[in-house]
Amino acid sequence: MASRGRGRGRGKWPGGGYDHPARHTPHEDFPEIALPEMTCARATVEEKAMIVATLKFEDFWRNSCYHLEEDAPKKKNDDKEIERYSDRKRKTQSKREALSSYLKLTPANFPAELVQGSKRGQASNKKLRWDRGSDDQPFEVFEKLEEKHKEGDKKTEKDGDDEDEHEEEEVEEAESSDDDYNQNIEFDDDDDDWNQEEEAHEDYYD
Amino acid sequence: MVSQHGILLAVSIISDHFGPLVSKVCGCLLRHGALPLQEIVRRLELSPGQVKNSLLVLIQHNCVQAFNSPRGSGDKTATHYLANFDNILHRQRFSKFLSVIRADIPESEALLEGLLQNGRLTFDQLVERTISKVPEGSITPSREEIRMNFNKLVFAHYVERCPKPEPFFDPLVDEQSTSTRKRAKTVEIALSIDKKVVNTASLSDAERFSEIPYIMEDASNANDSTHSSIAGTKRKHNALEVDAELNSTIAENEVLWRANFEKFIFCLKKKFCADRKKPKLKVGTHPIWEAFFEASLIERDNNSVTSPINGILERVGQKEGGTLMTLDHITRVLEELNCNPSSEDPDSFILDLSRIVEASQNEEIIDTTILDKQIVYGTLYKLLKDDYIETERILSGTGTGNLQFFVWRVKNTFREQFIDNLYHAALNLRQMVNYIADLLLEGSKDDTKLRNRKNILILALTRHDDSLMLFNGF
Repeated sequence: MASRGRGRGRGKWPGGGYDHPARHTPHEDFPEIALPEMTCARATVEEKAMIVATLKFEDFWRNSCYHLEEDAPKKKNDDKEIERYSDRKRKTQSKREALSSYLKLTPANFPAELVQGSKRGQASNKKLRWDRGSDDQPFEVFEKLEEKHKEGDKKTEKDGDDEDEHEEEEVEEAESSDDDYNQNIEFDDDDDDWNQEEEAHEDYYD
Repeated sequence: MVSQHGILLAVSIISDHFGPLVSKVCGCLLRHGALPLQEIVRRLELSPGQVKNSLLVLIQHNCVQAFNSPRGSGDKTATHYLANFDNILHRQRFSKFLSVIRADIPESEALLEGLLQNGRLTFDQLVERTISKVPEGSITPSREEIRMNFNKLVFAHYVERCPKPEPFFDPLVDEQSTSTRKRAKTVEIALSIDKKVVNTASLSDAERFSEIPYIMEDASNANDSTHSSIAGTKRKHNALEVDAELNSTIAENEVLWRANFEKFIFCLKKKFCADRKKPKLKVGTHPIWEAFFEASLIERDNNSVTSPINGILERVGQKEGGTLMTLDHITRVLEELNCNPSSEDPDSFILDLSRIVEASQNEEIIDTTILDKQIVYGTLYKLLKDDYIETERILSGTGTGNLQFFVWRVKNTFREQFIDNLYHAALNLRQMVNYIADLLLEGSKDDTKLRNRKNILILALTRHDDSLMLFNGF
């Protein structure tokens, strides 16, 4: 009985955890850590081209008809006359072309059980998008960058103190790119069009 | 069977490219082996329509091969679907495949890009795609020009006709391969069922790489004007023409073509071996080494490079200091570099790449080394924790007391674990890239910084993939 009060508060109490309570912190997938300095070789010209090509491929597939939506209706004879609210919402999110426009759905190419009942060949001579959408955007960005570059050049030519302007610009750029990461890969991630406005795509439905 | 992280990596690739639905179906096949449609529907609790569409996408992109197999007793058969792990992993190397073509046949790069993007296409579809991508104001290439560039890819074996969609295969019957494909080495190792299915589905080499025939468009006009005196000859000519036209039409409209991944992996292997050995070459041997690879002919197997001596001499002559080299000198250097005269053709030299690959996998290991005790303990502990080595305690009763020793050895699952860790690393890199992509999508002040980080991670993944190929691909 006398020992009733003694157990509490002592760090060495075997069963208790009062002095070191468990802390619940939210799980972080990618916690910020201090990264070591990058010592590997910089990207060669060929490697930069490969990175751009990779981004282009990934972008193409994400927007292609091959990227299947999880809750998209699979019946091809959906009632399109009655437009549901969820259809309208889906339309604004993604405008994918039909899978059957690109796949040659015949028993000569695919297992018979997969092509039974599907439309054979293309429904009509619709002009397919292929990857025109993803092609145009990088070109637009390249053009914009070129224009900006030209404007910048023109401005420096117009001013009398050309060299000073250049130096000032260079110094400004150097100050802004104080991050280690900016030193190495200098090209712009033009294929990353996350922050660009989507083009108005035509609707291609079956 | 594929390792745990290999499956996760493959599923991650498919999910990024084709969405979560397709990746579920793919994951199911990778984990459980070949399955029929109903079984996939049952396990995943998806609708048949969803599973069918997913399988169509996976087959279109060469990630799944279907085959007909007996079901139960009797004559009943069912279509089974088998995931192709190697082809799924190749998807993260497509940019490397494009760079191979850019160096070899640059005028055909756009055609290959179309095939890689869409998995399989007919020649007609490729033409339509090429024309649709021509910028306004530029000259549209003619169909003939496109066919020429396409046939260059076929001739070099970069592109092939797609395999049979649903061949019959009975895994219980130990059948010999019925295809007429030649194999340079006799296969001593028993092929897995996956490889057997792929072999069964493959067409013969002659058919696989059969180019699109060129038909003279005004051939019929020419025939009329010759006034052939023998009516039978004319009829025979017309029949042949019709056959040729039919073949051409089929080849252009009906046949599906795809990239031949084997060839691209072989090209990358060649490049890897050539680059790997360069730093160790003696002075003056670089031109001969490079010339040997440049002169290589179309190989029939994926483990060796064969080059004719005339081709090698020609290219050596074009290089700096090459004109001064004699035939004897070049021959001697080639033999020192393990390029031996081919038994089939004495005028050619053949190099076995598998030796270079194996050496690269093992690297040079010193037999003995002197290290600080703490470093040794630390290293052994880390290896034990990572499950690469195991230890055994041996008691020795000799001498005054009992001594105990710990002996260490590498586990025989070392290789599999190592490859699994490589897959794990690739998976982590992909997840990190996706995480940054999500951040960019949300919008942030550090856009440029995030983009640069993303590029660096993709670069790391590209370089890491070289290790993946070295240990599982070459």
